[in-house]
Amino acid sequence: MKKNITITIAVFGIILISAGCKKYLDVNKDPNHTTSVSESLQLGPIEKTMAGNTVVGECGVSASYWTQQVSINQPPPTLETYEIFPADVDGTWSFNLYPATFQNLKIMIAQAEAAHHNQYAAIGKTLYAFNLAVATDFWNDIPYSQANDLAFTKPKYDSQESVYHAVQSLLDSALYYANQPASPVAPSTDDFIYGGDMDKWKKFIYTLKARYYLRLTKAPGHTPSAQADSALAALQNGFASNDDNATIAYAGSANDQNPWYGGTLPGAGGVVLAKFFVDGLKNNNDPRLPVIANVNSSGTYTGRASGADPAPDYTVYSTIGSFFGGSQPLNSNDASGAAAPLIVTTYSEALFIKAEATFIKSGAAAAEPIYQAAIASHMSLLGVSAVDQTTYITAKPALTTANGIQEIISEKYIADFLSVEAYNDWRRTGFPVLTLAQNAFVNYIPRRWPYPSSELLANPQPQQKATTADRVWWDAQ
Amino acid sequence: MSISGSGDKSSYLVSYSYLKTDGTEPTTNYIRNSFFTKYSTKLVNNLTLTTQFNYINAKNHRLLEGNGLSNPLWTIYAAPISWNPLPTTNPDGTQRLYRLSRNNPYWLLDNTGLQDNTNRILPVVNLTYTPFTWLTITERLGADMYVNNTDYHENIGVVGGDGLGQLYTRENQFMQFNNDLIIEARKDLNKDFTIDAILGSNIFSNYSNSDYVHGADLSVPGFYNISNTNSVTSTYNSYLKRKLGFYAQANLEYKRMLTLAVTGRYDGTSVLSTDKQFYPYGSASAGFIFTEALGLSQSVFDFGKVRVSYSVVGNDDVNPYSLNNPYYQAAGFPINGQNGFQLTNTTAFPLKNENIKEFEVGLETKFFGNRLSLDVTYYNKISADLLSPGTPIAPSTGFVAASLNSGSLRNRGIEVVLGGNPIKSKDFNWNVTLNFTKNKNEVLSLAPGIPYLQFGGFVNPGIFAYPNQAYGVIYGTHFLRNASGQLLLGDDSYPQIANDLGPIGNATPKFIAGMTNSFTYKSFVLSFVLDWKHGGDILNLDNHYLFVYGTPIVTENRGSTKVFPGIIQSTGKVNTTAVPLDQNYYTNLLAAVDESSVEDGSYIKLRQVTLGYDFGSFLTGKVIKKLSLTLTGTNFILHKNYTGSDPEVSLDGSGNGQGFANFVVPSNSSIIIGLKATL
Repeated sequence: MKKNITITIAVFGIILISAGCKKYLDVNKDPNHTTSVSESLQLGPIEKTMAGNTVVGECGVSASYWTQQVSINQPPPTLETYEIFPADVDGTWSFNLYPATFQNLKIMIAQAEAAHHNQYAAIGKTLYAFNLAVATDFWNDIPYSQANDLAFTKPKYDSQESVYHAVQSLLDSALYYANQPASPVAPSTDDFIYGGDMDKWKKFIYTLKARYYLRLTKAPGHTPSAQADSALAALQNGFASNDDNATIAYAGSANDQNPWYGGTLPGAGGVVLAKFFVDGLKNNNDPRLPVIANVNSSGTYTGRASGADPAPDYTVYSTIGSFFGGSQPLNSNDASGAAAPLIVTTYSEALFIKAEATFIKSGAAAAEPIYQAAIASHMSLLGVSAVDQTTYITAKPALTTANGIQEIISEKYIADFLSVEAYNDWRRTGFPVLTLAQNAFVNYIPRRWPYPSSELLANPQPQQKATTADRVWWDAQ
Repeated sequence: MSISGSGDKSSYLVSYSYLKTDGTEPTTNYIRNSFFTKYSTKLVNNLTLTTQFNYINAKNHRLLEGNGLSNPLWTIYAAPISWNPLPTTNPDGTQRLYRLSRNNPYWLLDNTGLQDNTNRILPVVNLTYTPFTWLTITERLGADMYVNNTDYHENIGVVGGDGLGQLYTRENQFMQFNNDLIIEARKDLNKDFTIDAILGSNIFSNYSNSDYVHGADLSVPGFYNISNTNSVTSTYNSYLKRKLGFYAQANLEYKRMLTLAVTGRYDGTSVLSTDKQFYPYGSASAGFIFTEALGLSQSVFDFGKVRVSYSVVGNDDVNPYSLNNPYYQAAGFPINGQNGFQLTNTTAFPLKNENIKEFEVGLETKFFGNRLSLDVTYYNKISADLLSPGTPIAPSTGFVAASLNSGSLRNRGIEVVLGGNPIKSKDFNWNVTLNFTKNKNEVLSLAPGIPYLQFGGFVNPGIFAYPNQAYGVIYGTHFLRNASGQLLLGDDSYPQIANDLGPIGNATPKFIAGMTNSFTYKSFVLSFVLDWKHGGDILNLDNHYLFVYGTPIVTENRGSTKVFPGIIQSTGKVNTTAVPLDQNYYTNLLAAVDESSVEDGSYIKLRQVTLGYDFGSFLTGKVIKKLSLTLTGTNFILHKNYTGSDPEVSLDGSGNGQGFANFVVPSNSSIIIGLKATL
């Protein structure tokens, strides 16, 4: 009897203890983070990441150095003199693009589609296409169909041609969702680009479609004429004025500043304007010069020769104007650059695309008025008076069959100041004609980026043999 | 200083110690006050209560180390020695700089600083009940609780960021409780067999929280309070981990000659997947003192023991909450009242316990009246299902890292300890011990999709573990070489940089050896400890940044010419052309590859040398019972190949990622004079 009671108590005790044990150990739910958030809380960080990664970041900075719009006052070799290694592009791809941008967009789009939050689905797909295009323009073949899917631990790289198909598909799908009835769950203050204005998003989508059509004028299996047709068709619904420009808003406070502001502070090493760019503006008496550039410490507009040995003090060179986000080393009280909206895509670029496409389809005379309107639109954006605009434009040589592309792209180069598009157009058309920077690390201007170090180590692929000398698919000779 | 005493029922000990050290960099210091008390009393005949209480207060004032721009070492290592950093400001009040993007080191002393204060208490209560002579029941509850406050500030005018200064305060609270209930029985079964058995349970809980407040952009220069900042962000995190353990152990001893020990343990933890929370492990070991059995002569072969053991130890070494993918508040948010979140870039997989299986066999011998001893041990240890929280995976999966059981490693090797008492006499005694360890490690396997494990460094260069390569391989950029390892030079007779990353060194040493020596002559004692590490590369990341400036010692060969040993790639011919080592070589070639910064980390160090004198009966009196004087020196480097300050200074502290150094404060040698008196 006593033995039975003892055993019963023991067994009962063990059961209690084991139940108690499991409960005692059930404390592994994270109190510090949530595992799911609404699309509205995901969109803002995606746009800000894109701003500092594919609009500016290594993308914007290398494009502006290599097209000799911007220069850095540091001893070579630097990114400016074409020194670029897998480690230098690792942050862009391995932290900011595939995880922070694509993974978050994938979740946001899936959530929005499932809940019929049509606006978020449209915006998500547009941003996915935009970032995918920047990535393939720098890296040629990139993972897409097998990317962002843990079923594939070593995603294969898709050809640039198929990525460009995907870009257009994503934009078409975005248009579909943008044309669906608006959901009451709508973006507003979480959308730093258009504040949720879907009409502007639609125009942006069409303008991007036009840009990506025109990109393929020399791509194998494509003709300039067919691409110009597609571009012109898309542009009919594209940007109609500077009010439609795609920009990213900044508060200007310490936690939210235009990336070019931080990128031009003294601690960034002395980022200034390049001599090639400033001289071009001076030679043409370009009235945009005072907005694009600041005078140097001697009161003149002076650019730095790309790749030259550094000056002891970088203020002998002109710096980027606060309209574009630049900080003011000679006037450190002026922090207005921090709050400058970051330009993503402009009406001017749309008009230059239209001008080039018209030139290809219909010749110089048909393109001339569009070309002039393109220059005027950019000057208006920078606050140049109508009189000064006219003076400048009438002084320009008329477009001819021989000089058409060169003149259009050379003006587009100015309107695309600080945009990756200037580098893309230089690769595609060869304009403006650039000479090698001094102290060049390699004897050519790079045609693409190396693959990033984390990918090389974790996901070996045959395409990774590519060097910066190799051309991407659409960059045919 | 300590006071102790005892009576027939109780005993006590109270002690206090004070330490103040000035750091290598000016204004840095460390001050510690420690108070300890222990009281033990017999409550009733077979029940004893012991309580112990330790209070430690530590204050540390330091400057930033590592890669951040506010580390004074950037300029100290990179600026030419001929530049005078004083005065620290220009007439207009701005910092006086040698280079625009590097702070003046003395300005940093006046305008930045990190103050780290900790208050810690460790109480322990122990109840021991001995109902029978052979049975002891112990209940022990101990706690470790501390509050740590860190305050960091940077004044307006600092180079780095927007130059408007910043400050942050961080408060960490930590509470750990450990409760053990142990029942021990020790009995002589008969005159030959003795058994000692233990049954125990352990309850463990670890809680911490961290409250971090950061203020950006100071309004009033030099005023370091959170109210003086333009934008404040804060984070709060708390962590709780709990464990349970049930264990049993039995030792059987036969005639003090043969021992057999068996242990078993069943642990439960809160941090692993729910179906893998509980896991068992155990060990078995045996020892045989064969000199007893063989009855050998005492004066030559005094003692010989052979031991063998096999053990499996499980552990759950991951942080709490590692099983899901959280959203983090995105950097810079909220913006104008709009909040934003981003998914983690480390993805979680189900987790189970790690298992460390070790086989060990050893021989312990003593000869010549215990005057000579030789111990040899061979071990083979396999660490399986390694828990690695931040294992790299292909970033195009959408995650740069994964938390998972990533693979297995093997370590095997031998340890030899040779000890001797060569001279033993009334006045003079000499004891010496030599030890030698050689360990071979190998990564046996990695989980599918995992290319490598990273232990330290940056994405590149870094310290890694690759399958079927020794653990600790350093990967980075390197010069182009052919399959036989010869340099492939360009047409200009200079080395060329390869496109890919490759192994450029290994952080694991070939062997480690040491010697402890002690001489006693009457009341004098002289002892020293030597450490020898042979092999083990270090990536001197300082050099990587400094080659361009010409301050590292390896750049002394500037201006000379060199025939690079290798083959001209385009012709296949052996190179015979001498080329100058000019600025272009240093910046475009030497500094551009990580392999240039890999150095041999071998060293011989005099860890400690002590000279002591015991006054003994010289000063016997009623007041001073014992008095001794010691002179101790520590950490002298006798030999190193490393061009940095100390091959043991590492960026990763004492973690897994050894072999990496970047702008850390050099270590110190010290000489301590001590006087110890017992009253």
